[in-house]
Amino acid sequence: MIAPPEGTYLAPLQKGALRFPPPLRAYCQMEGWDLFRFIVLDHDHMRIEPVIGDAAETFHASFTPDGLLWIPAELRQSVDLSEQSVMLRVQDGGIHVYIRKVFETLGFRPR
Amino acid sequence: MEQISLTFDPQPPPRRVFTLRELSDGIRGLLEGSFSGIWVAGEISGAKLYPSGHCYFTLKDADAQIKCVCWKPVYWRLKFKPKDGVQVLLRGRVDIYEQRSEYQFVVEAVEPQGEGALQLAFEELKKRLLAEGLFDAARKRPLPRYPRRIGIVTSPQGAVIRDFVDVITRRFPGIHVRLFPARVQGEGSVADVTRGIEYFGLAEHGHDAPWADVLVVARGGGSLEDLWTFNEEAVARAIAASPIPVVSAVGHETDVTISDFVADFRAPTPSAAAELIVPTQQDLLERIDALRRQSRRAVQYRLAVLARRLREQATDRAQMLLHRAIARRMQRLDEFEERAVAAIRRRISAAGRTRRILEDNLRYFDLRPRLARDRARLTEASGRAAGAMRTALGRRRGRLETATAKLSQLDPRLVLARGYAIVLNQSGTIVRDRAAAPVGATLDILLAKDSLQAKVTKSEGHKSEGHKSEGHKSENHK
Repeated sequence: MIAPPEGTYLAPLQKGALRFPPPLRAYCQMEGWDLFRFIVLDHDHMRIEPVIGDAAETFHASFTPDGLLWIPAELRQSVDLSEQSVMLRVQDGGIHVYIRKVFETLGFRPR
Repeated sequence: MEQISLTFDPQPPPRRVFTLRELSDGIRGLLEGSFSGIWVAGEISGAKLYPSGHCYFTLKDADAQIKCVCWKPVYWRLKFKPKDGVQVLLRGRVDIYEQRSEYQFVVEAVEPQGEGALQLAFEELKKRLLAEGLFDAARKRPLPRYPRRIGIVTSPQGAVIRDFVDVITRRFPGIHVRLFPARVQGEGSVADVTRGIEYFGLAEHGHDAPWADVLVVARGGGSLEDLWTFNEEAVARAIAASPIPVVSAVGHETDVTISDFVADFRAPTPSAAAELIVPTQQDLLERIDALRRQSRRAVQYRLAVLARRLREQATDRAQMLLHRAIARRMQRLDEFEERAVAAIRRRISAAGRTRRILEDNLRYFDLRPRLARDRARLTEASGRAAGAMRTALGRRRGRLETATAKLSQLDPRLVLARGYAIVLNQSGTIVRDRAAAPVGATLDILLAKDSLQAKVTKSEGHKSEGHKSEGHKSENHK
């Protein structure tokens, strides 16, 4: 078991693909995560779940050789995700994508 | 034949002989007029600081070079000191060094060329946007007094967002802050920041209005290059186009960016932006208290006005009812008066008729002539009675006077005055004979003016002579 990288990483979205920061990319490789499924949690928040084993048919995307992860267009449109940077954070066995982060002046703090 | 006159200038042009000083001064004047306050770019070579404090070096590029001098006062004020091999922008003027007939560049400011170019670009963009009116004070929008939702475009990494949220939490917990993550320097940062500003200007998903009440564009401190994203025209125009008020909080207090000019407010730091935007709860509570007092006063005033109006309306209604009642009674009074006047007139008329009848009757039974006759007769009788009375009185007065005269003659006092006396005994009886005055009796003798008391000592019959009283004693009595 490898300790996930701490902190929030800024990742640009270019031409529909997320460029993973090297520490997160390395972590995914070490965990053996190469297939992913996107779950929209709310308008500002998605979760990238690694797809492992028999559920492989439900994946949405996989890493390109240069570390890009393509996000389906309908998903991007549904959360108003355009060419911008997003925050990535390893949480609960997945990668949370904070397209925007709402701070209700309590709880979550970026490191 | 007409004579043509030809004129020739007999004087050759005057020969002007310059001294070297005059020539140098003239050249200096020309240079100063044309090459003062200019910028020139090149690489520094042969920089040397002399013990005098002046710095000399050569500025050169691929095609030319110029000697440069930086005088001591300027040199010590320079932030960037001249160094060999550094590309710089120099500001200054061209001067002449008479001793060697050389011209040189007198340095007033030095900037490394990269930063200097940025500064020039900054000034150029600032000038252009200023001309477009993007900095006009009239465009500035007020911040919402009590924002509920704040959008911020900045990096999720670093202290900016953490400090910002901490300040918001401390001052007024419960306000929502939505971070649009953006690279704030380097490649992609302009697109990220611009996209973030545009995002917060869009209507919220499923709503008609943007999500945030106010937008903050923030970044921590850094060099001019680090902050350059916020001097980009795209960012400036995105800020200008934002439908919600924008606060620019870029760098430290001394850093000024184009975003600061375009934004509705400039905060010296991101934390200061949080303090600028959000009031403290105490501020709000005080404001609520003030509003409560103000509204209470307003309500009390309104109630007073309404109460007064109500009283006035009640009074008006009472007066109206009273007036109506009075009018009804006045009407009845008028009727009574009219009837009374008619009745009185009837009575007067009847009394007049009666009076006329009585007057007619009185004419037949008038006692006045009879009374006049009787009065005349009475007057006449009175006159006669008075005459008779006077006559009778005259007769009686005459008799009275006669009797008075007689009575005067008989008055004993007249006799006494002639020397006679009246003798009275103790019982007051006039002594007429000796019987009434025995011996030893005390007698009173009345004279005309006095009286005497005497004692009888001897009594005898009356003789014509020698009759006298013996032992007669008398004494006066007062």
